[in-house]
Amino acid sequence: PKKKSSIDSADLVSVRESADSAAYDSSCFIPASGPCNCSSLKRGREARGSPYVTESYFDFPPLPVTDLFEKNGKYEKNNGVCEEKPSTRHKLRLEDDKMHSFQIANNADLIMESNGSPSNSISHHMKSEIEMASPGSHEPELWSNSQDFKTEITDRLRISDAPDVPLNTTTSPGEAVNEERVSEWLWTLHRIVVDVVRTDSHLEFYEDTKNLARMSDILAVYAWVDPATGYCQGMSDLLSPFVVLFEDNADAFWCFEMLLRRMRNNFQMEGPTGVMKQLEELWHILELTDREMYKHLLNIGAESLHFAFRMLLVLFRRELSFNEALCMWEMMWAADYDEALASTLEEKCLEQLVVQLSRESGVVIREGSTENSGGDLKGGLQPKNGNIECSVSADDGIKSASAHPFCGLTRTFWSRNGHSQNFTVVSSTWNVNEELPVFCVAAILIMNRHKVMKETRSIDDMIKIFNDNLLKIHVRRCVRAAIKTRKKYFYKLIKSKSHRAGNGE
Amino acid sequence: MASRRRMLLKVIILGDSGVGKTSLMNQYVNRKFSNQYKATIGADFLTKEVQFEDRLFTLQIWDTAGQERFQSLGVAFYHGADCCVLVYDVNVMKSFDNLNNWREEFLIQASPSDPENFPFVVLGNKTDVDGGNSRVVSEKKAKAWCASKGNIPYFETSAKEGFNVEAAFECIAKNALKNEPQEEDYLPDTIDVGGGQQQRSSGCEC
Repeated sequence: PKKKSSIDSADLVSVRESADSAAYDSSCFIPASGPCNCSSLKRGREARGSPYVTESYFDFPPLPVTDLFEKNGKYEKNNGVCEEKPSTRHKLRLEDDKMHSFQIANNADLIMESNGSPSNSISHHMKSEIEMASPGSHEPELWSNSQDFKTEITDRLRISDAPDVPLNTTTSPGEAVNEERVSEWLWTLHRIVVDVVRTDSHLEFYEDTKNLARMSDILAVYAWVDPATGYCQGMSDLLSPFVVLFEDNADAFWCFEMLLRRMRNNFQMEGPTGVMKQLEELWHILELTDREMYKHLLNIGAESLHFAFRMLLVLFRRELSFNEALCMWEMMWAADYDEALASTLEEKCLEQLVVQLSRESGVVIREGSTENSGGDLKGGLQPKNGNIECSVSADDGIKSASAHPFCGLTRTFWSRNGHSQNFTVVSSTWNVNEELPVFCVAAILIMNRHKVMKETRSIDDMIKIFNDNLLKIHVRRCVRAAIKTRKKYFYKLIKSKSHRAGNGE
Repeated sequence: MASRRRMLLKVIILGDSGVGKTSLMNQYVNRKFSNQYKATIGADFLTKEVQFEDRLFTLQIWDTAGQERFQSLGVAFYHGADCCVLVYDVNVMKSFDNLNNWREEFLIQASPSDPENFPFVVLGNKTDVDGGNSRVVSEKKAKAWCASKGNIPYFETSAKEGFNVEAAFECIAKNALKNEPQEEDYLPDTIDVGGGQQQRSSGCEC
């Protein structure tokens, strides 16, 4: 395993360089790393009174890497002013029930807080917010090629905080509640760290604890903004490539968040329902496209197909090397790229992550029909429980595209690349279960037919050869075979349907 | 084939993520420790031949994901278990507190015929960390809990140092054996066992 640690660093560098230029597509969301802004944030925090709880709730042992939060201070490499005081690890302040804030790392970009006392006139209707960025501090030449972005630069971006969490309710005996929630949150952080340190630990990249810290920070932010999902095992495998590819945490976060839109239902409390559906789909695919394999699996009692669980949950990250997995992802996503699906995904944005631009930003917002006149786009920021005064038009809670003109990097990403103009809706939108990964698993089974037929006599054998990576997976051939299998599947599906219709069923 | 028939004992390891389930299993079966193990996704197993009173058994040890929300998947794996191993980290209080959930959830999901007497074994792992200075769950506390749940055997282990692992699994095997195991009609092979395996051909190969 140690061999892989030298995953071509040259390769990585080149990937990173090319990724860098792409990264700027989303750079209006890059948290400010400018000195002024960072220090003003700090001052704001310091002004809010003395911290009152810290270690007492931390009933988990300091893991070897919890220290990583401290080692992280120099992450903001391009500004020396931003050096934080060393004591900011896990800072938990609960001055009163109305305020809850934490700071995971020393990174200014990961400061999150929810503030019960509205202080900002622009956002007075938002009880809580995460202040992400003040892009004014960015070097303008990065995006000088487009007017739109220049206007965007001047805007402050805000992300509404998790509305489900009644942080700001005026509960008076809230201390006990808080204590419980703090403890719960610390447990989440604990679980994140436990998994982060063993994610891709063979990569040299992660020998540097600051990179581990980046991964855990992003997972923590995700868990915070999506409390319904929180943190779940497997997420770190999906995030890790983005941490490696993007130097900026915000870029990595948004890519990860976008990926989770497809996959969120694998990680929710109810269990991995998404994967379970995909496994059912896989069974159906085999039934129609490869009777021999289908019968074999049936004979050995492997129809649950649980052996393919890991492949689908972490998208082949465990079966392939780091670079191979990246190649696989890229091929799968490129093959499945579909404007209609992409725009559907846009609407799957977490409510908490809707980004509000002030009205002056114009261009893109107007294009996105901001009919909530006078509502300051409140609709989009309305928490589900709607405990804030209702805005005019909001079908509150329902995420309509118009109410959510911005979500993460997506809209800007596309509009910047001029794609939204020549938008051609492809009629054959796959539903999630028809996406390529599940066909890739089918292809892997088919391409390893001989081994599977010969060497498996129970589902346990299947689990073994899948878990121990005894199958040959040639990425390019696999994706090509998957695409073919999908065609075949749809062909058979249509045929069997018309056949049934012919029989009057 | 009949001569090769061997009794299969199925053991399930449960516990919070990061308590050392995978490490314990590997230490016992392969006598190796690595800090390169990744978080277990889904479930995995290892087998080991054990001899007990002149009889050979195959111990099949199932290692599961340590996140509660993957338990729905567990049902499939829990089925037919002969013994359940509950693992916690002596340095993490919450992992001990959660043992109760793991135990109850197992009894619900696996629905053994005699839940009252279903054999569990509790392991307090990672006793080596920081020379024992960071431990927060005392042996006394753990033993008291085990006693309250029908005298569950308790072991303190270090998968890293290999401390007490062998003894713990011996006890686990014995308890699994007590759980009226049935004869299995085949031996699930690990792929690399090799040597004299008869392949059952199923279907045509074309």
